[in-house]
Amino acid sequence: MISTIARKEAVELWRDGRFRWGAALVATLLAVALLSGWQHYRDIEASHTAATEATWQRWLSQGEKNPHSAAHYGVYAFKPITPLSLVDQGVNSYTGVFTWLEAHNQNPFEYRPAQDAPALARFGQLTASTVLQLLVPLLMVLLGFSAIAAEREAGTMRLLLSAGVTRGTLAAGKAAGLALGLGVLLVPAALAGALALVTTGTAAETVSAVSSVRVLLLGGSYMLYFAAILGLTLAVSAWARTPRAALVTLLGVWIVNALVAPRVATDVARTRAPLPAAEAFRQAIADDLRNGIDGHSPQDQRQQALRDSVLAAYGVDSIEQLPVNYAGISLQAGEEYANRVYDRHYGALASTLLAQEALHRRLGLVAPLLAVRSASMGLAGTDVYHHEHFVRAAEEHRRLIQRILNADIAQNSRFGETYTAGPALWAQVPEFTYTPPSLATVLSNQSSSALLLVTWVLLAGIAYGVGMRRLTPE
Amino acid sequence: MLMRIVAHEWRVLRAERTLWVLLALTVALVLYAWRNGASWVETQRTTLAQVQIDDSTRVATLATRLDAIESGREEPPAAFQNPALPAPVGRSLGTRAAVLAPAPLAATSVGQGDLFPSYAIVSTAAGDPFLRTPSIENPLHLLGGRFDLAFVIVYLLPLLVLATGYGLLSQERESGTLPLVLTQPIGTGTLIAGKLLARFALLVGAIVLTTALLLLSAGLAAPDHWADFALWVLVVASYAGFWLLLAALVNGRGRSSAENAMTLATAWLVLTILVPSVLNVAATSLYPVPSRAEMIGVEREAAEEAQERGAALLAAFYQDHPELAPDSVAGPVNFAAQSWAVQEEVERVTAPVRAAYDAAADQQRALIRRFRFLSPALLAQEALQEIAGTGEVRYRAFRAAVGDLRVAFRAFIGAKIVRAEPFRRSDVDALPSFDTSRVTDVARNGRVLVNLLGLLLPTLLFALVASRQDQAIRARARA
Repeated sequence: MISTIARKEAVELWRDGRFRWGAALVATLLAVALLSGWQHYRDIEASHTAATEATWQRWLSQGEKNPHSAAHYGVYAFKPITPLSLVDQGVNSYTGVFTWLEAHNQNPFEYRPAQDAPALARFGQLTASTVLQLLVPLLMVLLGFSAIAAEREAGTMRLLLSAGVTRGTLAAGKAAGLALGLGVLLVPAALAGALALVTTGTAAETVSAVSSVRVLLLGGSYMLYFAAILGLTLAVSAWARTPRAALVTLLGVWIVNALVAPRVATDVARTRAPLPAAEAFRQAIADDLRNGIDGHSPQDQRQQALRDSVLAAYGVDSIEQLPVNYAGISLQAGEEYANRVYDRHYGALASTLLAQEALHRRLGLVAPLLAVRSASMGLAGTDVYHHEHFVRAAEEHRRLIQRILNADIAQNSRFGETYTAGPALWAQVPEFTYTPPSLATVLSNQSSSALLLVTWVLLAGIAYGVGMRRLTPE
Repeated sequence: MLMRIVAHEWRVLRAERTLWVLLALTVALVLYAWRNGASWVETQRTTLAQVQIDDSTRVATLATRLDAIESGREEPPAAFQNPALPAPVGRSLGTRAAVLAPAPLAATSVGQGDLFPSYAIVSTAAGDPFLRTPSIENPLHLLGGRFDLAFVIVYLLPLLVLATGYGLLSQERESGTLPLVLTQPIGTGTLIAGKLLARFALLVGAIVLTTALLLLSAGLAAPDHWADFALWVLVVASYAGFWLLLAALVNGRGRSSAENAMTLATAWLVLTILVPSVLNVAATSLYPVPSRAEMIGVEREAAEEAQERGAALLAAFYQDHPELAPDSVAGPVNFAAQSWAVQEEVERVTAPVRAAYDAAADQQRALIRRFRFLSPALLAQEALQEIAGTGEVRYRAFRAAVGDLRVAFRAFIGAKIVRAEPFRRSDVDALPSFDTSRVTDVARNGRVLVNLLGLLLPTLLFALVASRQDQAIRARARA
């Protein structure tokens, strides 16, 4: 019986001109979005790979110079683009794309692509994720609002119920029919997306097992989201007095979910976990470097203490007598101290940013869009967490470079001499390779979004069930 | 007659609970959005005030120290921080702040203000001064945009308008009152106009009044500020008018209320969300701006090459600018001058690369400017941002003005470096400073008016078509 009802619903849907138009529109937009996402991915991938290679070659071929001079010359770290960004670009346009790894300073990431983009881009980019998060639910609302309400209005509900169809069967049949109709649209789209992903596989690891698991999970999250929206649509349709009331309510729900919730979440996050003012942040770092983290150990005192302790450790009374070059030790000690300062400030900054992101995610309890957006960005590797992970990795590499170069100064030169090193030393510095966060970390981050989506599906299902039970045939 | 219909609609609307809910919702949205925008402006003002204080302190300190050195009361410090040498002055001791103050109506639209810095410190250092303006913002928040008044107007006002207008005639027909009303000696045109006016007065009135009160309470006083506000009201009114007349047009087709709601929701979706994002995809795919990653390579290469040719570059520089050459060529190598010549060379070589990025972005903007008339939301958004002083044109003008100041500043300091001249007390007052009037934009009102026309023309067209639907509506009402 359920399948009969479902088939009838799906066939009716397909015969409906509006559905065909709507479906064609959504499918076209999805195709355009995937295509432009793919083009963007390919361009950025090529450009950042080339830039990474170039900065490395330049580092290797910088000729004879003092290692500290080379440390100031430094290398650049370019943020790689993840293959799944073709589905969801996340915050990619709003984070800097590269940073300069040099001696002494943890530099900020430079050039947000959005600053090169027209103001129009702020209306929202057309990516597969926007189509899936905003447009598909709207299509569902427009097609499903009358599913129950119209039967009641037309009087066919009484007919159906008196023909022996139970309410449960009817409810399941309607849901299955709508899902079937939309599935015809979404399954080919999902396949197209997967295909696009496979063809982008310039490198072998692109389509590794991990990323196919990610694709599956991404698809799963969207399925949960759609199930929740479908449940909500049918629930409202069952509870509403007229189809018109159902439509107006559902449009209201859609607006709150799609437009209002993300912006309100921003306000909540900004108030609950405020970020430091940029100028004050910079000043605080400068102050800590100058006066010490406790505020009472200025730079010259720290240097004096270091000198005394090094001399004591080697049992000599001047730095000229040391078997190692004191310059290297002093430089490295400066780095270590600065690292503590950076860990303190940038660490606090990163945790505030992540706390804000977590607030957005938790507000998924109010609007399912926030939950699916978080899951989608997380799995695509385009959320704030992934950016901060790269920031951290780049900084670790900067510190590694400093350690290697300063150790070379300490061991291979004498205090006060003019010392130069060459390509052999530059090649000792490993090339910067970035390992993105493991799938397990991403999953533990996103477990609450998954939970919230499941909760939404259950709540919507219950509301639908109760609505159907309470329903009076007219 | 028209006024009678308006008055009648008022009475009908007043009796409805939905109306009061909508009205309360509108006012609440405006208040919430205003609070957001106002707090943003407040933060901006605090930051900019501090930047300006720092700027005057810096210059005052420079003057005092030069006084002390020139009168012999103070020994000049080490070369790299000596205020009597042009290079340290240009690098840090005498740098100048350029500040873009928030416009009077800034609180109505954050616009591009969260993305583009509103100040820069201009020095002789290489590269874009804006990159050195610290900025901390969660990218997630930049992505989502702010809940400001412009958001309420561009996205939510049409929905409020459509919520009151989707059943303009269809509801009368569904409740059976339409044929009755039409037996009265009035044209359907008058009937629709009356209904429209009542709704228009209600929604636009609520928004405009609330905003006006908020502006008053925020201390907006100058007449030209109110001229800005008048322009703002015009944009809001035309935009609301567009959506109301679209609702009227759809109602004239004689479909059911639910169908009207669906058609209007689709129109809203297409005009406010789809057209802008499709236009964006078209612009970025046709004229992609390459990743700035590529620029780094070019800059580094130019810098290295110039460094190697340092001495030769300086010689060539003196050849080109004999007026800047010091009196005696003999003597120790002027390292400051040599590094200056290197910097100039790097600037020269990388300028076309930077220009290429701007050119691609300009092509994108040109395409969007041509097609922006396809979306009233785009027109309204742009106009509201322009009025609030947070549109891209103003930020680009600011960027250009900062670029000019940088050129002037570098020329002033650079001339002293290559002539191996000291930096004197008398030079402090001659240091180029930021001229705010360079960002004043006389063409702004013209651009806003073009957008207003873009909103009004389709509205008039809709009005024309709607007024011709009289016969059809009557025929359907009789049937």
